[in-house]
This record gives sequence, C-alpha cells and structure tokens, in this order.
Amino acid sequence: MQEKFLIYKVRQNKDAEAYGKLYDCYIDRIYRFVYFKVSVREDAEDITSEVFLKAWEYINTTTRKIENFNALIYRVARNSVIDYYRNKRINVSTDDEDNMIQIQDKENIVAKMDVVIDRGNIEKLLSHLKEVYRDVILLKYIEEYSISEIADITGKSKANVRVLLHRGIQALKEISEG
Amino acid sequence: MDNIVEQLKTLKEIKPRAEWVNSSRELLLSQISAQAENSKTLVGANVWFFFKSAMPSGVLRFVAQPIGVLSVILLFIAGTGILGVNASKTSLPGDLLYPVKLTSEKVSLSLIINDSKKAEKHLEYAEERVKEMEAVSAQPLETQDKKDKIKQAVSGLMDQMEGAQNQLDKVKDANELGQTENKVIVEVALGVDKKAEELSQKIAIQKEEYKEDKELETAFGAAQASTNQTGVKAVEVVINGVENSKLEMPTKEIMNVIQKKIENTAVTVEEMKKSIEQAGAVENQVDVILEMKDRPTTATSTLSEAQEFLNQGDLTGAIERIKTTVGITNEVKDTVSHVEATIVSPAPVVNSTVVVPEPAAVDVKVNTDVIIKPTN
Repeated sequence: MQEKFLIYKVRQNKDAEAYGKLYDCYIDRIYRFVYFKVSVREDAEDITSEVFLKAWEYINTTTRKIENFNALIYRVARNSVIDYYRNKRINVSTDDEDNMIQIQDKENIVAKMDVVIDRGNIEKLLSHLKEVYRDVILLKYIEEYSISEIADITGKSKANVRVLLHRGIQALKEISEG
Repeated sequence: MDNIVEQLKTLKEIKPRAEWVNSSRELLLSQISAQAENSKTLVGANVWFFFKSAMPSGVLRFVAQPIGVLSVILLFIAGTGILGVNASKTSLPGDLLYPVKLTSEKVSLSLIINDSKKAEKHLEYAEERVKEMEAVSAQPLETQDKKDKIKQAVSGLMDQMEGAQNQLDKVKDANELGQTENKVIVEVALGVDKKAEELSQKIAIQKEEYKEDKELETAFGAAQASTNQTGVKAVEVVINGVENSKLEMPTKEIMNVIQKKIENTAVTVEEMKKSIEQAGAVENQVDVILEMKDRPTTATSTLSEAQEFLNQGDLTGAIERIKTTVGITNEVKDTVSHVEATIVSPAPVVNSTVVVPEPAAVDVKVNTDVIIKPTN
C-alpha cells in the first residue's frame, strides 16, 4: 500500500522525494539484475541510473494505471540492457572482483575469503547459464521473490516460472559437476 | 541443491558502491525535480485518483461497474435508446456509434456471472473485432486513417483475449466443483479453444496481407500470439476439469486437440527461427540476437517433450511443455519487435521532448529521449 501511495504522489504531484523513496527501495535489486546481465560494474551503474530516469518518465507520461511498479521497473531494466547490447560491444571488465561487493565484516578475513571464493564460483557458473534461467534464479534465490511475483515481473505464467526454476537449477548443477 | 542455493544467496552481497548510490540519487532527484509541478488539483480528482491508484482493480470494478451500467441505462433512456444499440452492432472503428457498441458489450459481459461463460463471451466479441478488421481491411484506399482503424480493432481483440484468459485462469483455480459443473466447463473450454483456433487462422491471413507494413504485421503477430495463448489456456482448463472430476470424456478427442496444439506451436517455432535470422541480419543487432540463438533449440526440444508426454498419455505434462514453448516464442517475439521497432521508427524527438506514439503503451525505451510503444 505504501508503494502505491508513493506512486500516487509521483503521478499526481511529480513528487521527487516520493520517487527517491522508491529509488532507495529498488536500487540494490535493479543494480544486481543489470550487473548479472552486463558483468561490468561501470556499465551496470550507468544503465541502472538510466532505468530510474526512464521509469520516472514513463510514470509521468502514461495514461495507464501502474498496477505493479516492481514489474515495471524490471521491464524497463530489461529493455535498457537490450539497448546497451544494441549500442555497444561488450568489453569484459578486468576489475578486481573485490570491488564488486562490500563486505562489512573486516575482522574475519578467513570467512570473508571463503565467501568471495564461493561467490566467485557461483557467479561464473551463472554466467554460463541461459538468460531465461538466470533471470528466474536471480529473482527467486537472490531477491527472494515469490513465484507469483516472478511471474508478474517476467510476464510468464506461474507454471512456466516453476518449470524454468527447476530446469535452471538442474542446469546449474550439471555445469558445476561438469 | 542446498549447496547451490546457499551459494546463490551469497550473491546478495553484490551491491552497488555506496558513494555511487548517493551521487546517482542526487543526480536523479535534481533531474526530476526540474519537472516537478506544484499545480493544485481539485480535491475530488485527487480522491478519485488515489482511490484508482490504491484500490485493487477488483474493488474498483465493484464500484465502477454499477456506475457504468447505470450510466448506460440512462443513456439508453435519454439518448439513442434500444434502437441505437441495435444500429451500432454493424458499426466499425471510427464510426459514431462504435463506442456505443463497445459499451454495450461491456454491459453484457458485466451481467454474466459464470466465469467460463464469460470467457466464451469474450471470444464472441473477439470474433467481432476480427470481422471489423476484415471489413476495414477490405476498404479500397490505403490511408493512415484505415491503418488506425485496423489498429483499434486489433487492440480491442487483444483486450478480449486478455479478458478471456483471466476468466479461464479463474475457472482453472476454482476448487470443489461438482461433476456436472466440470462437464459444462470442459465443453465450454473446448468451444473456446475451437473458436481461438479459427480466429488465429483469420488473423494469420490479415498478417500475411500486411506483411509489407512492419507496424501492422507486428500488431497482428501479437494478436495471433495472444489468441493462441487463449487456446492453450482453454485446453489446460479442459485437462484440469477432466482430471479433477474424473470425467469420462472421449480421451481421443482431447488428445487430438493437444496434438493440434503441438503442430500449431511447431509452426510458431519455425516463424520464431526466421524472425531471429532476419533480426540478426540487421547491422549492430548481433549481440541482442546472439542472446536468443539457443531459444529455437530449447523450444523445439520442449515441444518434443510435449509430444512424448502426449504419446505416454500424460496430458498435463504435454500441455505444460506446450505452455513453456509458447512462452519462449512470445518472449522472442517481444524482443525482436522491440529491436525492430527501434530501427524502423527512430525517435523523432530532440533533447528532452517526450513522444508518446501509442497511449496504450506498456514498454519503455529512452535514451536522452523517451519513446513508449506497445508490446505484447
């Protein structure tokens, strides 16, 4: 309900502060979604900034009711990534992986290294996965959306999402074992 | 499995840099604040707008439908009367009486309580939209006005298909139905599938006729995809109804229906392959198309699984695989039309101008400009 109220304020009064709250709520998720598709931190940042501006423009120009901001912002993100690939060849980032995350617990170096190694492995495995599987896995296990929410975001049926999740995990297992 | 899920959860630690989050927020707010308007609106408009925004659409319909019905009844009495509605039945998009025709359809739909019958009614009106497309299409001159009328009919058709699909979902999710009730639902759903099949063929003819016009071809393609999806949902309802209440339906008939679905979906997969190849031939689109290169193989293998399930008599397994395949083809269609639209119609805008070619837009595309266009 609070999200609907924020959308109402954005549409009715072009309330920038209300949109700022939506930004705070979604920025991490949208950044991760984009990052997993482009793999380059700087590009992910640029695209994510653009996504929020596009969504603002859409909300304030469309005559349609915004039923689901969640689904809208992911849709804008997906299309922005398509534009990115259309306009530019991919340059693989040589950034140090440590720059991609922030780990708060600086005391426990060993635990931190374990996490980084695990994360690095799974990140590589994910990059070999088909995009359609990667999207649903990301939304389910990292962003912890329900099947119904994922169906809304991806525009697929709930049954389809379940099938894709099952196959995605199977594929991930096969890649990790092979 | 648990290990993989645990590892996946560690990816939640990937976060944007805090300083970037803050600077990006500041930049965004400064950009959008410039557009902020302090114009005061009427209190009544505010209340209604908030009501519309905040209430679930079901509640809104509950309030709005009686208002709509009452308005139409008053309109009948004060205005054109029953004769006017009858006269509107043959009207076409753009005609004076066309809105009356659409409103009377909405009223008829709101008076039907049974969900499966409502789906059937949506198909009846969808057929009406197809007839309108054919009638407008047969008009001699190729003008922008004619094109707009066709697009209006296509948009109306998509609305009816969406309505039918929502009703079929409700029917599928309904619990504890008696055997007699299930039998009626199954028969109605079979009828819906048959009608969807007929309409899909008619739309395909229109699509072929307008293949030179990319915009109309894409619109017809989306309408056909939506119609096919309605057919698949109807068959799902049939299978659900038969299996839930152990109806003694002629299995061979249902298997034939599913076999037909597999064959039709195979045609769609072939079309998908061609569209990927065509889109891939366009300069600078290679990266986008590369992402989709494995979709035809996935779709073909999923459809083969559907055939295997059907051969083994597993109807649910078969329809689930068909649905997955249809989902893949629709996703590709969506992406290809997005790519093509950005090439065929470059944004006729400069700097911060906002262009809204289609009011019923659901997709967003902005570089320094904003372009909003429809997708499926």
